[in-house]
Amino acid sequence: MLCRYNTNSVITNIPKGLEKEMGHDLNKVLYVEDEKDIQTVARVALEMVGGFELKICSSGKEALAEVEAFAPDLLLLDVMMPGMDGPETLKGIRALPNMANIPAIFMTAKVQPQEVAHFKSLGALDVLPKPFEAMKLASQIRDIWAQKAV
Amino acid sequence: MSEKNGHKKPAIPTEEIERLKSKYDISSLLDELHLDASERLQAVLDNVVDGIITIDELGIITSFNQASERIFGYQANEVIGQNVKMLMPDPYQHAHDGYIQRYKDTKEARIIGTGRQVEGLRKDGSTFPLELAVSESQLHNRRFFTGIVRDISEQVEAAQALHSSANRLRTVLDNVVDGIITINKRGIIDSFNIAAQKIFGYEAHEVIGKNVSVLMPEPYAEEHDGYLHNYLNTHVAKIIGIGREVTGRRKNGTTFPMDLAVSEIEIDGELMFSGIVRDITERKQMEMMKNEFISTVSHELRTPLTSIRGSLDLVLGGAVGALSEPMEAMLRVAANNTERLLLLINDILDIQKIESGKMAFRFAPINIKDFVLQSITDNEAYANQYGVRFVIKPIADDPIAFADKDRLMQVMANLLSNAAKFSPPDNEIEISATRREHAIRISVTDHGPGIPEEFQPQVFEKFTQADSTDSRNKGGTGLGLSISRLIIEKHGGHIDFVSRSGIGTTFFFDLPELITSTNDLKAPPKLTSNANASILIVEDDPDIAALLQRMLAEEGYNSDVAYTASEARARIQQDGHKYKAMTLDIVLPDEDGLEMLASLRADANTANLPVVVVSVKSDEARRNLSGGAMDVIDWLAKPIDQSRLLNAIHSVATENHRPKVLHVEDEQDVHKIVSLMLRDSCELVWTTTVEASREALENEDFDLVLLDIGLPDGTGTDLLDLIEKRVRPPRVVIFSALDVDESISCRVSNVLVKAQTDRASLMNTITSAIRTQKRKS
Repeated sequence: MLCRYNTNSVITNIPKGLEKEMGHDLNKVLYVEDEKDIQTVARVALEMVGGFELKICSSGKEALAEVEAFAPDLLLLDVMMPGMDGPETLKGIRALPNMANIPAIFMTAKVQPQEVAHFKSLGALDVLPKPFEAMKLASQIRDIWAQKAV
Repeated sequence: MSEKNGHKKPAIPTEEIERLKSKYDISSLLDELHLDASERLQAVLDNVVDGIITIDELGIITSFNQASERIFGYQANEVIGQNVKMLMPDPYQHAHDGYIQRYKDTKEARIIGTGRQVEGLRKDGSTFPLELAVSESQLHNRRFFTGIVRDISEQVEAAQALHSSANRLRTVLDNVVDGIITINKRGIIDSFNIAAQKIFGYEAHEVIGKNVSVLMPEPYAEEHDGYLHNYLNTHVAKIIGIGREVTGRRKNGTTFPMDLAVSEIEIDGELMFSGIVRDITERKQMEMMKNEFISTVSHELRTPLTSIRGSLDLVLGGAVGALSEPMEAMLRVAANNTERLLLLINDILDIQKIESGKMAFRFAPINIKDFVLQSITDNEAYANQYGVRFVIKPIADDPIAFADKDRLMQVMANLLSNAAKFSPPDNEIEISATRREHAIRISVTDHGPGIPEEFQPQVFEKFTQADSTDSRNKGGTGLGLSISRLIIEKHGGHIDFVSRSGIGTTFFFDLPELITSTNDLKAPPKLTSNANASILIVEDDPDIAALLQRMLAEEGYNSDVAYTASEARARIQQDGHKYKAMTLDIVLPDEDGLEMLASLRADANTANLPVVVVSVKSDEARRNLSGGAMDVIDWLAKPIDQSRLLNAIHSVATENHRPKVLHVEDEQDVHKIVSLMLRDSCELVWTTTVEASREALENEDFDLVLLDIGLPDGTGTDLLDLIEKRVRPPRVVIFSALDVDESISCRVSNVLVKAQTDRASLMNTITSAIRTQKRKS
């Protein structure tokens, strides 16, 4: 395991340059989720209710292939997926050119405080619990976006 | 068996004796009868309880008193003139002639002059144990032997009965599955049954006489003597009289989990301890499998629930179009039950996490008054839902408990919602907090129907509700009170209830009250030269804080405890010069200990305060602690190490070059400390394995390598060759818990040794940190 970072970033968890990226409105969301049914629910929650421009990928591999063409503002990543899991997918995407600082939110059933801290230390803005509240999902994402932009 | 009184035989008329017996003793009786001396002697001989037999040098019987007749079943005239060996069974019979002969020749005695237990042969051929004392006499130049015999069948039988019951007990002890070990008050093993031999792999003779600490891994082994000593002095028991899970060590050095129950016993006035030991490796494995299964199943259940809940939520929220009223009613049923299923899964996971020790408890001092007030505000929704009012009774003073506020809030939510559910509308529910002896009691009282008596014993069991229809009427999973009990028990507290049918129910829980003053320490600090040095202990775990306090008190240090970072800051601000050193837990409830350390360093007043980092794994340590051991993972003396480290950095730093440091370290805590020290002065790359470090070293140039020796896939010294082969070899500082031998240390710039975990070194570090500090000022 090779973890490399500028020591300053350990403290804040916010990658350099992120402040600038988060200055604009949230519009395009790339959602990575392996469950088809949950995809369907999320599509309604994020497109119809939330009004986002949404792209859904079924695996980390697919996301890696699509992310640059779609150029999302935000990644929404399921943590537990077969093959590449959420954190691995994030790492892979951030290793791509121009994607080093892309904001991300994890979704997972595990929501103990120290686990949330762990996911944040991997570079995520926040963690949303599963099962999520579909009607509120989009506004929760906007809240996180707004809060971190401050 | 043998008769107690030997005066039935008529050397004098029996009636006469009987008549006079009550009035006179034997000698005065004989006087009265005017018997002559030889008759008197005969009377005495005939009336003693013991058999008296005389034999001559050839072993021929010359006299045989009445008691002998009774014992052997022979009349005197049947034996007088016969060889005494007729009264002995084989093999003594045949040996006797030779025995007398040998005695005459050599004076080598077996019985004569001493007395011993032998076997006798009765006239009827039966044998019996007898005690025989033989003395040698001379009369008219003729030698003869007097034997006094006593039938001891009864005693022997009693002894045998005792022996056989001891045997039976031994057999039982040897066949129980539990190991049973007894030790004396110095900890020396006194007995070790067969099960214990199987469990530990030692033969009994290998451990009996040894200190029981051979059966314990470090650090318990080292601490055990002190623990016993402490118990004998203070009677403060950690295990004695209580049962608990501990770790044992087998002969082959492997360790295993075991249940241990110790009781204090007294054997023949000596204080001993008996320990009953059960190997629970298998049970632990089962528990682990069960826990894994539950957490997997729960996860698998949540995935489909995510879709179901999500779709229902969207449909009911109108996201996909309008609904007819009956459609909405049906979908509402589905949605409600989805919520219930979700609550159930969450509760099951909660229970599993608490029971498996995976739920992290974050203890901190909490103000009970504030806590109760907040719990009422937070749960107001329940009161509104059921049309009841929460009423708080006045809380007299300001008790403080040491608790995980969130978990405790979970308990309050459970109790308040239960009370609301089971109260008639418009009723009041009373909440109170009172101080009891060493505890704080929080009670919730409702005026509902009460809990049926037959149901009361199961109230805290899982999946129980008084009336199965209630779960539908009243909602809830039937797990709330089980969870509450687990949570309260984790706080070292106790939860219970009283309920009267038709009157109402009071649920209450007791929490140990937090006592922060040093004055409560049992052992008063010794007055030594250290008495003026006060130490600030920053530690959120009260057990560990108390332990540190006691350790410091034993060395004569005064100390204050701060349970949170903010408390520590307040104390330092109050009197910054009071503290000569500080111990710091890096996991604190309100702030990261390392963040706090960084800010102390930044402040001129505290920049040089010596700090010993005591980092403790919270849950495991708390378990270990009750066994008397403190699991100090690591501690570092600062600023000594820091300055050395910075010196090493400065030596590689040049004017316009930010040095690049490779930190090879598999422990995250240590890395956090180091990155904190170095964050302003260099660029840090962190690797945790030999493999990753090799890769890093091959791809990049470093100015300095900070090297841990013990790594998951090898030792850090494996990297030295590679480092030395570099075109521009980086300097190397070894930073390790392992000892470094000279062949290695001469290849590197500096060796910083991570301290070992024993308390003597810890004390030394604190002391030397203070000394260094003094020299500076």
